[in-house]
Amino acid sequence: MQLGLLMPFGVTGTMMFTKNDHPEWDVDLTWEPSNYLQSYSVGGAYHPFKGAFFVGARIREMQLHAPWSRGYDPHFDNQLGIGPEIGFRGWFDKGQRWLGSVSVGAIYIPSDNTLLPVLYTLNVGLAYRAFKHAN
Amino acid sequence: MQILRVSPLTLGVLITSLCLTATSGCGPGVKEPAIDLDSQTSPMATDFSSETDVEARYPTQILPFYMSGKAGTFAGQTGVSINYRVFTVPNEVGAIVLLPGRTEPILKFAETIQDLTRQGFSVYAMDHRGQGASGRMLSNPEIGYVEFFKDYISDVDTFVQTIVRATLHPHLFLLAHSMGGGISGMYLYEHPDVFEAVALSSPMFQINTAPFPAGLAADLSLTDCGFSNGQSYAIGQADFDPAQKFTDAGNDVTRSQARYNVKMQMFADNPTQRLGGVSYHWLCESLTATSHVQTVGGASTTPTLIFKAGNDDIVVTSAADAYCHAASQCQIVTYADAYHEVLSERDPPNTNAMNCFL
Repeated sequence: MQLGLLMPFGVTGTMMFTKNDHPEWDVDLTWEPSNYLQSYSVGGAYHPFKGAFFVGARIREMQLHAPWSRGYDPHFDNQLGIGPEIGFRGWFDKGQRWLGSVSVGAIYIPSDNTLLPVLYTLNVGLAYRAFKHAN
Repeated sequence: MQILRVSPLTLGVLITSLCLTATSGCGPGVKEPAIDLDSQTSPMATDFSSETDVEARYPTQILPFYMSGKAGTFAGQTGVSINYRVFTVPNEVGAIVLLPGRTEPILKFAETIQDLTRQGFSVYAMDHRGQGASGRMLSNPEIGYVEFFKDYISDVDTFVQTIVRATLHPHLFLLAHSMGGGISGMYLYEHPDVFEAVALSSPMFQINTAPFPAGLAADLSLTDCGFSNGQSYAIGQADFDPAQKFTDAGNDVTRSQARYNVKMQMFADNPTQRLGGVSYHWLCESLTATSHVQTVGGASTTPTLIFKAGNDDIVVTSAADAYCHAASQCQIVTYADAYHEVLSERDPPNTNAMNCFL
């Protein structure tokens, strides 16, 4: 789960690839519903120092109005967003059960029918490790 | 073509009545309109209402004229009552649909409407939902709010189809200011064949969010709208201030003290027509809608004239440049010293504005 700016709430499933018990790559699927914007995204991150710090990118299907709202217009409201992310994602406990994250990012919408400014995100997340696959 | 004879007249009426002092003519890179300007005769500045005695004439001439218009209402989207007024001219040259800006009742345009009717045009003016004498949607009626920006567009379409087109007009034009211009941009995209020509004054194709950078303003607004119903005032926004003076920093819309005084007196006399600042939800809807408007200029085939204020703090004027550059028949006139409300600005010392065009 995550809380943040731009998208107030989100649900994430993260797959973390480690090497010698140190994080190396992450891939996540994130659903960020809200009372206004909707976002469905895939994120990828690389931990260059094998620690919590990561750099990554995210590609989003964004909806400027919710599809169930009266204001929804599929032509204008479905937009592809892309952008970088940077932050920290690491374990809270020695047992490596609770994973915390803080990240900032930007969203650019390359569209021929929308000219929104670059949007910025700030997210704080907390995840619980559901399973661990030993190498 | 008839339109080629009428459009410049309309535009001339508007330009002269806009009461402006300076013009830079047609902006660089902007296409010339497909109108035969040489064949036109234009009204003179003296054909229009003068700023010098407008305060004296307002209660005795302008307001009675406005009240003589045929008032009515219709049910807009979701049943919100939409107020309108029709000013019919016998043997009209054509008809003009007038769409005001945010906070502006059509009553504020009484002087302009009178000028247009004197030039032989019938005028159909409509209060947008949530302002003027149209229905308000929140318990605090002064909060600027709309549930969906497309409701504005639907209301305009209902107005045009059921009220304006109920009568056959030789020509049909559109005059819109600020938010009315933003609404018009999307309306023209969806209904390209309704109007023969349009004039947009300081169109709201992009909101000026200063002092906040556009990205930050969009972030804050969209976050609030995602988290709540967005029906509270956005940061820095408040109820209408009846004590605001012409010289206050808050007056960034006109340099005409006479027309400013008329406006404030109108709101004093009609307090239910006041509107305050914007809600977060209005911002969200307008930010996303105008982000679309900025891209649809290329689809516009309607002859378009845009009046741009050189000292506009309300909208980002470069968005109008981009729209006009993309549109096939569009021309911009820039009034270098004017503030946002071009239609309520000072009178010109001469007819520079007219000469630029005609």
